[in-house]
Amino acid sequence: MVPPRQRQGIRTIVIDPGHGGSETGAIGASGTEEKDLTLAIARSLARALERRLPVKVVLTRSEDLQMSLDDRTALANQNKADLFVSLHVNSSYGSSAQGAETYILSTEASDERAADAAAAENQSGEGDGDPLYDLQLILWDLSQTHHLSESLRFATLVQEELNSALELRDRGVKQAPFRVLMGAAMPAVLVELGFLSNPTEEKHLESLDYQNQLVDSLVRAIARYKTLVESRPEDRSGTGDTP
Amino acid sequence: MSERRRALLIAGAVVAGLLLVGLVLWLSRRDGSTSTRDAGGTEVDSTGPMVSVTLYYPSLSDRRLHAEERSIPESTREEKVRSIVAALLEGPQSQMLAAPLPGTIELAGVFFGEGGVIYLDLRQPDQERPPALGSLEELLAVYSLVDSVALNTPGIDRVALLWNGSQPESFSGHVDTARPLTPNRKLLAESP
Repeated sequence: MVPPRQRQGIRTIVIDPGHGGSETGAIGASGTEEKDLTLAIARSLARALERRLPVKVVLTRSEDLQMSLDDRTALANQNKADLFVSLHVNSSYGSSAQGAETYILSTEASDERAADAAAAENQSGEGDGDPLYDLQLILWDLSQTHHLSESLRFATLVQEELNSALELRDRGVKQAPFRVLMGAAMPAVLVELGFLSNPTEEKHLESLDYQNQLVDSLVRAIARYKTLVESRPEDRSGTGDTP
Repeated sequence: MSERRRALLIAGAVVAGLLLVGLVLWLSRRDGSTSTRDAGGTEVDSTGPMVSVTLYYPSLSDRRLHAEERSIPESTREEKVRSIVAALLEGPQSQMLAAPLPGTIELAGVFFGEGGVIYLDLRQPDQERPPALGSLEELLAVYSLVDSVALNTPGIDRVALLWNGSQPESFSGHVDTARPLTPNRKLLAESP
């Protein structure tokens, strides 16, 4: 008997408020800490998502505590999340940089990490003959290479919504070797909501109205991506991939 | 002793002292052993052969690393790396660029590993954690070090960054530093 196939969908979303505890993240000129902003916006986003969409939302942290980057992704994997959104606030060397930006994992970082894992296995002999170890490696490799194109699709929608709400010039989706995006077995993006190093933007980011604008943009992007995924023809291969 | 004789003796002593100082200065110049400070501010003998290196500093305006040429004394590979990192931490000459990390951070150690990997052990007195940075700052800071060291040191392909002797998963919560990093040329500004 053929087991029933589960239709693709976005049911569980993990929202990751960047930093926490003694790891403050960026600090603005007037003392605003990245970890506090990301937590406030993540909480607000979680409430808005559960109110407006039929999804379950999991926060990697719901209070001011320190958490490793790998534990954040692990939590998303354990919850079998369909989407991982890490929220951050940026800072630059000068004070002129501004605007929100959406990142996915850089392909070089993805490739290098896969090469490192394979080289480590070959060198140490660790995992030789251990099917669980081999499986872990294969799963990791699949996790980002298979999800990178989906991450790009989702990131494009996020950036479109942020550009539209904040009237930003489109700088496109960016790629970087961000640790928190590695190892996620689902489409994963990191959103930089603005620059704390820009005093005007620091003031905006502290205001509830501006935070609500950001949250609305993210909810719209997630809703659009959910519709996109769920309106695709049913996958008959069983791999979850769409050609 | 008469007043006149005492005055002559003092004047004579002053003249002799001045002559002695002049002689010492003349001999030291004749010897050619002038000292100067290298790119990192360390006092070095500048009469030996020098080598040119290209350092990459974060820009204040365009999200890229910009090149600055420096001369450093030709020395061992380890000393060369130490000079490069010291010069980066000391800061750029251009006011449009920035030091990648606060100047209070210092290079505690340099280790050469297998397979073209170099380990740079950084620390900051009284600071358990690396500095808090935004993702853009962290990206530029990490690759300022990686690119400047790897692209100026033959035989070095990858740079591992340590903090207080251990390798953190990330310095400031964004960029993956849990493994040795290859240079990122995409972050380099195009040459003028």
